[in-house]
Amino acid sequence: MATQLGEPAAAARGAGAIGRKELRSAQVQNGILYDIRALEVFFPVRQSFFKSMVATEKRWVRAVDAISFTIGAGEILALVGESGCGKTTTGRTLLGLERQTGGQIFYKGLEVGRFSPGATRDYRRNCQIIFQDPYNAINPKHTIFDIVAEPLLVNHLVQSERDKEERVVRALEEAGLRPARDYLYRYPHELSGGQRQRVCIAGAIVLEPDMIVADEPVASLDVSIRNDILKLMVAHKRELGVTYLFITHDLSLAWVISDRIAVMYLGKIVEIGETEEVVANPQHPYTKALISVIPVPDPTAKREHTVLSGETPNPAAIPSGCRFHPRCPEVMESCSQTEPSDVQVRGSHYAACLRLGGAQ
Amino acid sequence: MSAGQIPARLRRWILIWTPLIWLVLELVLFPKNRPLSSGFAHVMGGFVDPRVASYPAWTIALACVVLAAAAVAELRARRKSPRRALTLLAMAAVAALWALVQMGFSQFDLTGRSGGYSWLFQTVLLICAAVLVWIWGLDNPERADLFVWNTREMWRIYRASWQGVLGLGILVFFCGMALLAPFLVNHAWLSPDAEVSATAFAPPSLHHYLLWFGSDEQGLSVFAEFVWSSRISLFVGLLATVITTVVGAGAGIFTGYYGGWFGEIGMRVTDVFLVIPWLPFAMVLAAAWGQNYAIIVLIIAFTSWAGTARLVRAQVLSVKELAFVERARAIGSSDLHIMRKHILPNVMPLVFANAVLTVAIAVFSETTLSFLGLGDPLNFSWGTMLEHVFDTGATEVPTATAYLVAPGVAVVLVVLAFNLVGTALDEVIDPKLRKREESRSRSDEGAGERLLPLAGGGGGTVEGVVEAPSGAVWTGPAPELAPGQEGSGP
Amino acid sequence: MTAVQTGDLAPASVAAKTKPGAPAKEAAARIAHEGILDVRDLKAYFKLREGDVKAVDGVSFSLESGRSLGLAGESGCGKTTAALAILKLLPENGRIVSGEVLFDGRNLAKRTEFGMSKIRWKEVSIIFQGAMNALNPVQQVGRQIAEPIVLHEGVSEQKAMARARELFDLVGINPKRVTEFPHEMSGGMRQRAMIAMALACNPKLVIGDEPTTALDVMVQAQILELIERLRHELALSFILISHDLSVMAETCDKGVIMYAGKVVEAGTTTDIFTAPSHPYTRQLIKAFPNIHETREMVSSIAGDPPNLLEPPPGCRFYPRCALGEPACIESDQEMVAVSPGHYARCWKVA
Repeated sequence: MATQLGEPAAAARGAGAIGRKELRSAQVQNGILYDIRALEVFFPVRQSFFKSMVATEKRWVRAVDAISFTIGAGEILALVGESGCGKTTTGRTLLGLERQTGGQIFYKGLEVGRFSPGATRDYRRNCQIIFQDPYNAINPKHTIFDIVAEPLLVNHLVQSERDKEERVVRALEEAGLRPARDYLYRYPHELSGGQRQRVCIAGAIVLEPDMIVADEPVASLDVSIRNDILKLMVAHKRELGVTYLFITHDLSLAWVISDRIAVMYLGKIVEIGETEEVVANPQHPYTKALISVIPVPDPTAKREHTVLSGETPNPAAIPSGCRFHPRCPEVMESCSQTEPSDVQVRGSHYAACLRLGGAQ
Repeated sequence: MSAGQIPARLRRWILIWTPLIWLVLELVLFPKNRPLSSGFAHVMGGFVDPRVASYPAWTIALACVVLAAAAVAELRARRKSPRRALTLLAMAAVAALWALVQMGFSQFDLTGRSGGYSWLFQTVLLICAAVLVWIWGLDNPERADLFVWNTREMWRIYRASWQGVLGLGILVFFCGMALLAPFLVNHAWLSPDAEVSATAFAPPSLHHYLLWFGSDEQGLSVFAEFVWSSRISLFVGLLATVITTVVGAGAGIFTGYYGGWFGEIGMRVTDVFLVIPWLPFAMVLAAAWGQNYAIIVLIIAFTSWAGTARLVRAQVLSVKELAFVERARAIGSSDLHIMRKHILPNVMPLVFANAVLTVAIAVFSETTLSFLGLGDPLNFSWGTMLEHVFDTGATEVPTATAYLVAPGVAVVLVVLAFNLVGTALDEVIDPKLRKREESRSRSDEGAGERLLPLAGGGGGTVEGVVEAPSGAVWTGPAPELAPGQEGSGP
Repeated sequence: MTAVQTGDLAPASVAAKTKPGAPAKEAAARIAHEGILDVRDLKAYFKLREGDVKAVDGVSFSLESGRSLGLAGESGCGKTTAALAILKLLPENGRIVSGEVLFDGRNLAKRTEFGMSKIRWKEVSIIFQGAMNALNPVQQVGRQIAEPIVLHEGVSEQKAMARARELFDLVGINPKRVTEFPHEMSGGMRQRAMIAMALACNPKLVIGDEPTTALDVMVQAQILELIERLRHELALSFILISHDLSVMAETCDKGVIMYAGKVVEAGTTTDIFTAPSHPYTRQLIKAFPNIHETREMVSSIAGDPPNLLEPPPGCRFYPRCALGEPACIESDQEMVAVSPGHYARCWKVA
């Protein structure tokens, strides 16, 4: 997707590792925290020994296939899509848990791939993650105190015991666990799922990061407590200025709290824009289908359900042209030959569909 | 509980266990010639005998180095008060002094009698260690409370299993016999000229305790041999297990955590040790290195570590994939930190349960090797006794039945006891193996005495009994089970 | 409404099929509205060391033939237990304490295990929670479907496999795939296979315990559409158990909301969603976003569900209810009629 940034400052200076000092003094430019350009994350397909000898070319799973988007500072951007679309891989690549095989990630104008090892360590602190399953995301043998204090310990950020305890207590309270002292010496299995997820959030907040990647943070929780976690994310955005990358398969949840939505399909972003705009005025057939099938608590609502047939194809065998064309209800002749590029619909709302006019 | 106040239970435990541990340490190397019959004063004198705590100098030097390193780490931690660091420094100094004395530098010996005060050094170090635990308890009352509660819980669960209690009972009996051997039977009764009966293979009789099991082919007391053998058999078994477990677990964790080339090579090395037929291997080593029990310990460790390594590696491979390990990586932990803080604690229960079974195997191996004649000919172990039985034809002599049966039964009971303890430990470790009621009381809504009412924080995901999430990962699963998680998310 | 097909699914001629082997007359006769299931004051408890967990404590609902009923509530409310109780599939420490389960006039609660084995799968079948993982990974899927057919109808293996192929066709999987193993199928496919298995012996009532919970939104829509189609073609009665009120709203005719082992509201889904009467229902509905309405934050319900070992007296929702009064816990609350066929367990409704 087109970005609002000009050429990033670092690239203009020429090649060379970016050091810690530079990273420390970097600022958010034009309100954009992350500028991702043509990001590619491919995984090699595992082949049997014999096949790998006789195969002529390596097959790749194109989990994330040249996507470009920006993340504004202090916003909640939702990455929405079904399983296998690459949204989780994207989030993890931003954190450094997966390796990018192509493209560039710019953080505050500096290219992440060119950080020195020291700068990479510092950078990793600024981007934290909350996992989906609070039952497994924290070590069951550690106390809550240990879990939340671990990031501080591991990054040598505290000088004394008292300092550590203060920061842990503050993080727990910001995550809504009050009074924090009651929770410090408990074990995860003594807490409910919602409380555990709050502990995970506290563990992410304690480093005071710029961005938190939330990977399906409420999927494992009861419906009646989801809102607490979602409200927490919004509160952090507003009061602490934390940017959230909200990864979810549930478009209606994304609609509730995010500022912008990016819809992904099979490794590509098919539509991106402000939430209300995208949901009220979807342009891509996939987005339209998704919105039409989402169930709502209203039995009297009568609307067309565009139920797509078949399932998402295997990312190792991506269809030619527009990768959505085999299932698209509005498919045309040219869709199987040409891959669409992003077309501006209105303002910051973009969609990648040949019907809107974009052609490679 | 306010800071600075040690939990009462912990205090009690320190006060009870420190003297007990001191007693055990004294008894391990207690002089062999002071039985109860030689008079009270003589026996008491044994506690301050030069032979007590006379460990080889290199072990003491090693302990000194470890203590010094711990002291340095404590200093760097910059806690509120330096008493922990100071205690550790004091311990390191004492150990250094001790090591020098042991090495023969008599100028450091303050009394003029070289090496005569090892027991004093040991006592001082033990008291310092107790003080260290006390200080820890004072500084972290909540953690100490947690530790105490956890231990009591584990004991409560262990106690509920009859196998565990029975096994522990048998072990206490035999370990007691081993430790108290110097008091029960004077070692002099094992010297070749200390016959208790004029004839070989005298039948058991009740009128003297030395004749309870009769006499052997030389007329020596079988009972005396039996009691002193327990020391060797158990000691060799335990020491071999400690080495096996440390080496095996270490190898397993490293090869399991680091995949790729390192892991592969490590595994192949482990495989080599696994496939070597241990008995011929042990015999070759014994022939090459000599026949004494230190060698046997090494031989048993040499042939057993690979089994532990493989088991631990398998567990590490599955623990490595869990979400909290990934989280640890995401927050920037080093590999060593992850292995120490995340992998090890989740592997420990398995390692511990495996160690208990390894002791059984080690005792059995030692018996086998001694039986085949590879043991120390000058010392007695149950295997050696069995070897003598077969070599001298005691199997044909009806009066020598006790001579044949006693060591065999002892080995069987000890091995059985360790297996029973291992079974009970499995239940302690893995809630899935416990009865349903037990695991229910640990669940989120359980009415455990420790749970204070938690204010706010929102509702729970606690499913009804049928739909209970199996948070089984937290205690480490039994060896065959993979940590199964039933997440309901897509 | 279905869009372009891919090679994996059988062509749209599926719509023309009826249940194999049964004349159309029978299907039509079934659609006449007669009560097929009537649960009256069912109580099912679990025995624990500490006492009895009253998982289902006096639940009543009924279902007419050919209709669908949604059993909704959060985790721990007892909906799965109620379903298992109907089929008497409770675990060892569970038992039906009292109440009746009238299926086609017969009381299942009083049936012996032998009697139940005749009912299970032949007349009532169930799609379990996490069904996709309930398939045996080392056996072909077709054979797993054939197994109950062979057991119940005593036909040969070949005939059962042929029936399995028909069933695959019915649920929209290419019949040639009966020889595949579960890991070769995607999540949605496996769920369809489980539905096929549930239909193997032509049951009258199918219970689906969270059949779409772990599936993607589009696959969920496909499965729900499939269930709807099958319901009409085969004149099935269907009970859908779900924590997702939105799914229940869109697919079921009648709804029952459960909380802490009791039914708190019952009626047609239209009634429940247009005029929610119980405070819990009102709060719960607001916890589900409606993407076609104005954008607002979903609500939550403070507090925790009660401990079912010792449920509090009176209304179980009282601690979390904004309208709670001391009168609420003085006595057990009864179902109050809001309108014909619509009931709520709250005296404030009247």
